[in-house]
Amino acid sequence: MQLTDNDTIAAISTPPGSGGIAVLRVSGPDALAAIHPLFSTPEKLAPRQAVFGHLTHPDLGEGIFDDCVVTFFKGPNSVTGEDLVEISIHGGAYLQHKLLDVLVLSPSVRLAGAGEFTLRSFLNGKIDLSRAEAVADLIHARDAAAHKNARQQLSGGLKALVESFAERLRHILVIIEAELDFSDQEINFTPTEKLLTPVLGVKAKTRDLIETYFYGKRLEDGFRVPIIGSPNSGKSSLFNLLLGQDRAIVTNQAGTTRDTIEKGFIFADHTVVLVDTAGIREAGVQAEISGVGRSKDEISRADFIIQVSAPDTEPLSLELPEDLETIDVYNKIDMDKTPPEGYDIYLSCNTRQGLDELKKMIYSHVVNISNAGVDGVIISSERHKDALRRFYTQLEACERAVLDALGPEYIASDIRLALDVLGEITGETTPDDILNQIFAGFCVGK
Amino acid sequence: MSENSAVSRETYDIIVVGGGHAGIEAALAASRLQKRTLLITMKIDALGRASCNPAIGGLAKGHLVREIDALGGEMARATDATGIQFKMLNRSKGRAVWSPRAQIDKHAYSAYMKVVCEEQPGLSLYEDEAVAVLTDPPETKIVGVETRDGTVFSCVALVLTNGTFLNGLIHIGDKSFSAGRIGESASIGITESLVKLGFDTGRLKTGTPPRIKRSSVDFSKTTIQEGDETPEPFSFTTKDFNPPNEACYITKTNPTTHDIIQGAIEFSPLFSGKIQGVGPRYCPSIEDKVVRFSEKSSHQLFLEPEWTDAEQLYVNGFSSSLPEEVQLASLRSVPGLEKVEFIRPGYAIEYDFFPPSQLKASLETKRVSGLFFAGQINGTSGYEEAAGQGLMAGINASLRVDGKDPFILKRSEAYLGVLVDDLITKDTDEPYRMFTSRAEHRLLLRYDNAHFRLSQKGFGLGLVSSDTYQAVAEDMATTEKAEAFLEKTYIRAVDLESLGLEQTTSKDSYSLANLLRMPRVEVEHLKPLLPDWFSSIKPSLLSLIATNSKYRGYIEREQLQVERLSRHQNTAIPPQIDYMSIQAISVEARQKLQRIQPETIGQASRISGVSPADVSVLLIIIKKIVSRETS
Ligand SMILES: Nc1nc2c(ncn2[C@@H]2O[C@H](COP(=O)(O)OP(=O)(O)OP(=O)(O)O)[C@@H](O)[C@H]2O)c(=O)[nH]1
Ligand SMILES: [Mg+2]
Repeated sequence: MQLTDNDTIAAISTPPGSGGIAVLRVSGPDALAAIHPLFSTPEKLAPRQAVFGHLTHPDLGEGIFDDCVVTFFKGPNSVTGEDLVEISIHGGAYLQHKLLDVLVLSPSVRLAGAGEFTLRSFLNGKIDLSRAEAVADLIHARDAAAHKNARQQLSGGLKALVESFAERLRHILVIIEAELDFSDQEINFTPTEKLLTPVLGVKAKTRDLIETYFYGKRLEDGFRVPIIGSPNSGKSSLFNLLLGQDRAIVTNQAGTTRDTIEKGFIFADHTVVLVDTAGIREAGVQAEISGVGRSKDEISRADFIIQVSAPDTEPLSLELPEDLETIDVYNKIDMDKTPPEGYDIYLSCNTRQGLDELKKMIYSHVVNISNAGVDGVIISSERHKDALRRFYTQLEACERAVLDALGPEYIASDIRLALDVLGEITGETTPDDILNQIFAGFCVGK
Repeated sequence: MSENSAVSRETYDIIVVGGGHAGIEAALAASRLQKRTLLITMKIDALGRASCNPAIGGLAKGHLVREIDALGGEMARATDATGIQFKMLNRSKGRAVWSPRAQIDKHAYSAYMKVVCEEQPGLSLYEDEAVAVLTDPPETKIVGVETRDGTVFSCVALVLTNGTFLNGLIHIGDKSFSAGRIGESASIGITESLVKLGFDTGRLKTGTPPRIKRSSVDFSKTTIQEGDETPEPFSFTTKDFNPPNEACYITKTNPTTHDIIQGAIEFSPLFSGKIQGVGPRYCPSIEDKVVRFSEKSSHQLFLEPEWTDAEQLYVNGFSSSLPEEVQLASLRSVPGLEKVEFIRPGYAIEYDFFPPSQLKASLETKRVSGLFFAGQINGTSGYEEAAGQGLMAGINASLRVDGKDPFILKRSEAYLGVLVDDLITKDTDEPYRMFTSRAEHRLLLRYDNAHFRLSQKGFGLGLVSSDTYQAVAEDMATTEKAEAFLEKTYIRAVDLESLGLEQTTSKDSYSLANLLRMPRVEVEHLKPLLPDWFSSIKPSLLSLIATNSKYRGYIEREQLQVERLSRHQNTAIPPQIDYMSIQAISVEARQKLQRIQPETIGQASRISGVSPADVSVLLIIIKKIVSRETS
């Protein structure tokens, strides 16, 4: 692997876990360019001035990053000695990672490696030379920890899966390189079009694997299950019932819950984060409207939802995403002798009728999701996802090269880059690895 | 010996030991750079002798020859002057992997090189065997060399290019005898003298096929293979190129051949365990092929003339160290070779080499200053790899004498850069050969732009004449002008058909450069749209311009990669770092770094087992050391 330190890196620089305010740092030549398209008032960014504004990006969701402060430090007058942008946001681990995710989508920005900010600070003379050994030890220790961490996450299934990607690409590369380096020999070469199938196979699996990051994260952070419904349908009552404690306020007034309340509980070995939300309806006072916004936001982050209806409330005035897993609950069954058909669960918060069935159904959803993944594998590391995403982009380039019939040397270039990226997760592939396979597989040499 | 090569026993600036492809380039470069140079060789008549196949160039190797030419070396000119068949390989593939190859007249080649060396001002030749390198106690600086006849020559820099001669041992069946190559004695003493100085040494093996009598071959049973009808020369300086086009002949082995070989496998020194050295897998012996690829019922053989009207043919593909009778019996089962007669059998040769991780990027040894190694002594194989190293060693020995910084090519600049960097950062366990897949910047490092990449450097060094450099510079200017035109001239999509082109995307208009990026579109197709001055551009340059267009996107991406690479790639690592004491570096990396002692951060990062975190730590340590030294 090669050392690059002429590029732009990003990381969350506040300690892990949720604090009141989190700070993300972007350092390197493209730091300012990277924040530009996201920030509401980029023109205001002047060195050493905290600028208030909001962040927008299709992947960021609406209104979540309304209150943020961005500060630009022009190198060398920054902690790293390079151009540096600090973004302060409100919010927990989920939001921090979401933003980091969007930042490293930009091709010129990558996730910082272990101790990289400190390294840059040191190399640019921002840390006292007398601390050289300490910095060296720190980087060593962090790298060792990151490695241990990555190895643990790479255990078993994921390792085998990613290794199988690498193996398939190496196999293609062996065929192409043999053709390029030994075309004067008697080898039957595979037509380039035939190479597309394995590339597409790897590409599809990679996409699925990237998507499992969502679930991988869930295994760590808990499954998010918001309770959604019209005002007064009994969401807060259900919330309390499932938690077994009176956490949310219950009244007979529609529009009681304004802000979301969340609470995790262990459910059949998995953490489930139940979220009580504001009832959704057309009008309402300002606080309620923004509460509804939050509810919608919760829906977009949900693993699945519990949708509550009741005989004495309006039907839900919101269209839910089609692919969203939903448990349809008809509440207050004690009030209705002839309930309508088509609900998953008929429940009464008052009499607890239907509660066991509901719990069973929640359980089966959780288990279902846990079993999702590619060949039973899910990813939960940001670093893995980042690498897989860049790997995917490279495979797309490779696919284009094949379709455009650009020729083997282009395809080889794409596959090499793809393997380089994958090398960040597994081992690196060297030209000698490829040559070794050529010598083993083909009778080359006159 | 001609007059100007008379030897005085005075001090030379540079002495080169060995008159093979590496030694010649080293000696010529050194003397052309105005260094008083002595070339010591065991046989002046064998200067530039091609010990193995009668061919120069080929895949990746052709690139090396072009680069040698661009830097002012001799190999390309010699090949153009003495080639008897020229062929561009990989012509059906993209131009990044096209590579020129030539069959040469071995006699003429050697004679050409002898004349060039003899006529080279400042270069003296001495016929004897070098037996010891002489150093100044405490043995860290070269002072001269001693030959078999007891003569001592002193020098500032010494370039060793001993090829396969160091303790060379030839094997044919169960017979083995000391030799440098067939008919020439081995060189004894240099290895021992280097080991005494603390150098590590190892043993490698290579082989060569039998040479047969042309009159004993029935060519009616073979397929004729000729060179290109319009051959391209290797050298930029070659004008009025009109070489012969001598045929080679192809035939094939069959199961009977393989049975005979299989039946006698126990007599092969390769399989009996007699040969210790490791041979190249890309150039296996016929017995190796038969055993390892038993599922293949046939292997191609090429019968190649070794010189014009040669009675001697080279049986390419039949390298062997089996007993002579077995070689003969098995070959006689091959169509066309039923009555074949040998001039001499194939053989394997074992020789000493010095693992090149003991060298700096200048090819100077880390242990002894002023001592340079080039060619097979570094564990490489191939004339071209040898010549390339010889040229680099000659240049660097000369810069050493002048007290100037070494001349080092980057991996992104030349195959020569890849070659040297690979050698010094990798552990070679078989003879190293160049392949295009070794170059991560393959699309950039093409045979057709070698002069664009390197001539200026060659000119700056003083090895490329100003006429040649001017001509290259003119080509570069023409290319730039043509590319600018192609970039800014647009054609409407509806007009594509008139050019005989299909519209493949939904764009309204295309720049001509854009069109060229499409597969199968060539400058030819754009003719009607080009101004008059385009027609005066020579075809080879037009092809280069089209190629630049075709690879542009990919090359830019590769370039970006180069730039993103650490600005610390070239940061020098101060000598004598005690790696073993750096706890923050992994144990494996500590050991490797301690042994290899890389000169730069870039080299360190390419050593296997050294992780980016190790490199980061190394950067920190260096920064501290450097600041301590300067304060
Ligand atoms: N009869 C009956 N009443 C219920 C049941 N569940 C909830 N209620 C009543 O319905 C009213 C509304 O309950 P909440 O839990 O506050 O409803 P909500 O959906 O959270 O309402 P908002 O927060 O305003 O959207 C309260 O008066 C509850 O006592 C039930 O199963 N049976
Ligand atoms: Mg409520």
